[in-house]
Amino acid sequence: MAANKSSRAAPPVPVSPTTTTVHHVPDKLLRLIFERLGWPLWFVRAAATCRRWRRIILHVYIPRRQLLHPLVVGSYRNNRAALARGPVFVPSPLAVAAVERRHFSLDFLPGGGGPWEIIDSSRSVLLLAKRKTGWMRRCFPDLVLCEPATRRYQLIPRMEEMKHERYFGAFLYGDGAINVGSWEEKSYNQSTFQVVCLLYQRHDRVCEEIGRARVCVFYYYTHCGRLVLNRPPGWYLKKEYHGPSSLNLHGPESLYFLGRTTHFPYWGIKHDDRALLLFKGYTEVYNVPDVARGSVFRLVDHTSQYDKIRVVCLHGSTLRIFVALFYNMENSVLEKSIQLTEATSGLVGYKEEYLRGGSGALEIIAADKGSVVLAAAAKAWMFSVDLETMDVAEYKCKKNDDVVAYPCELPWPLTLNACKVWCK
Amino acid sequence: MATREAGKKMIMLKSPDGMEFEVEEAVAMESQTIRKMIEDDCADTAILIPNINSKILSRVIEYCNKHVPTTGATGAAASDTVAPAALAEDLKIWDAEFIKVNRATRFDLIQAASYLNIKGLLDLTSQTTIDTISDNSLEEIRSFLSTKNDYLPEEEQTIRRENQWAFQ
Repeated sequence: MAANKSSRAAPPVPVSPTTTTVHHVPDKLLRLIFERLGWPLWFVRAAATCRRWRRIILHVYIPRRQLLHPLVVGSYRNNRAALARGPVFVPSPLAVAAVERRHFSLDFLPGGGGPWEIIDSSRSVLLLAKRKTGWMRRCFPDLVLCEPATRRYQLIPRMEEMKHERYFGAFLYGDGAINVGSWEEKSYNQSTFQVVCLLYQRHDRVCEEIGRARVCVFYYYTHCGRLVLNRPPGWYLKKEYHGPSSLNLHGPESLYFLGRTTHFPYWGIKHDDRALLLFKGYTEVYNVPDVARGSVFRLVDHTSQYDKIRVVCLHGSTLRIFVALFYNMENSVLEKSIQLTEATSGLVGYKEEYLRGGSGALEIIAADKGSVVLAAAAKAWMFSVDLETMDVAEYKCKKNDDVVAYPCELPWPLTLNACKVWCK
Repeated sequence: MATREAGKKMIMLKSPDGMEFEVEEAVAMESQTIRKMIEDDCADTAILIPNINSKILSRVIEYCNKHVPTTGATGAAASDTVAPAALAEDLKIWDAEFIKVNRATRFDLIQAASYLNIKGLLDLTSQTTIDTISDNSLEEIRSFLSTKNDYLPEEEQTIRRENQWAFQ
């Protein structure tokens, strides 16, 4: 358009090439360019450049899976030292140069990062529990939900009536964009999440130690910074299920953790061939795979198939990987197998006696989507096995850092509320 | 060369400043916009490209000439088809050389690529802008792309507060 006008005014040269700047590029085209940015940091930079760019970027919508670079900015590990600074952050390779580590410190939490311990993470949000000492350490803890990137948090005090019950774990279930913030803060994103907690409740009026697994759920829905649904935020104790498959537990020690996949966390039940699955508001009992019976095993996500899980079984010094459907673990198929005595003999720190101790010589310390960490001789020697390639490598970890890593993502979609005119 | 003139259909492209470019139909059809015109039979003699000046149009044609698929190309390409990987590598080097232009020309090329709907050229030209954004600090982006910071101080504060992690 500009070209035509100027050609009428000055016929010989319609457009002087030096006049074209980014201001002459139409919005539609800038949007096409911005859609290729591929990493949240670059979107923020472009949006902070000028008002026009921010407006355009607000209307760029890219589903998380289509971003060029992974959203994971790093991972957190709990620190076991007594007077620790709290969980430690390790940035991912792409983030090392681009993002400053101090922005991901947890010092903004009440009392700093020290009193808190990470128990779960989902996308850009972490779920932490307050550290307790003595017997209270096994009871329902106070929780906090936080987004390190935006330094926002939400305290979730424990449920008063259940505060003395034995607790197995709390998990974060998020739908859509999770956006944590103080309740009065305005935000156009909506946040929808639940914190689900599994507890043990002993039966009254029974001499024997018999109890049930109980589920508590904390609901939190906001839109434009306001709570929606007529349900106030808070803990809800789910009704007990009395049916043919309801489960009696002989003491809190009869549940042991098997792993947390994207779908749900699993617990094994001692002296029982079934596993307990924790859904958003209830528990179910499923048979464990035949192959895993009588062995040490963990359940992890499958790397590429969404509806599959991997069953990582340790039989003596043989590691076998089976693939099963996440909701029907019985029909599992052997995928890979590795004899650890031979595979680890070349590793630094290997001693023959480590693997000679029979079935109890090795233990699974941590297992996630990509790899499993095993240890011998009470964690004196650790190594990891890659679940895709079955490569064995020495596992290095700082003395007091926990082996379990909780990944943390950059917030996506972004929050860009400056000069906002809607959603008041 | 003789076969080209004999066998290939030629298309005339006209820029608004009166220059005419005669190109092979296959080359012109790298542009999806022109392809549509040809397929819809609205291009019998010459096609006027209304908002791209001759300087930019000649660069665009240069790009299309290089990127026209080798299957329908002339004998010179026959030896190259032996090693497609080497050919792709060659094209990459050529592209890198091609995009070494000043900022104004680059934005003209982006607009031309978008109007003529040439995906490869649009990718190539916008990548430089993306690299500028991803490799530089905010102040550097502003000076490289000559945009002005028109935020009110409190608005800039809001952006920085909401996305602290993205700033140094």
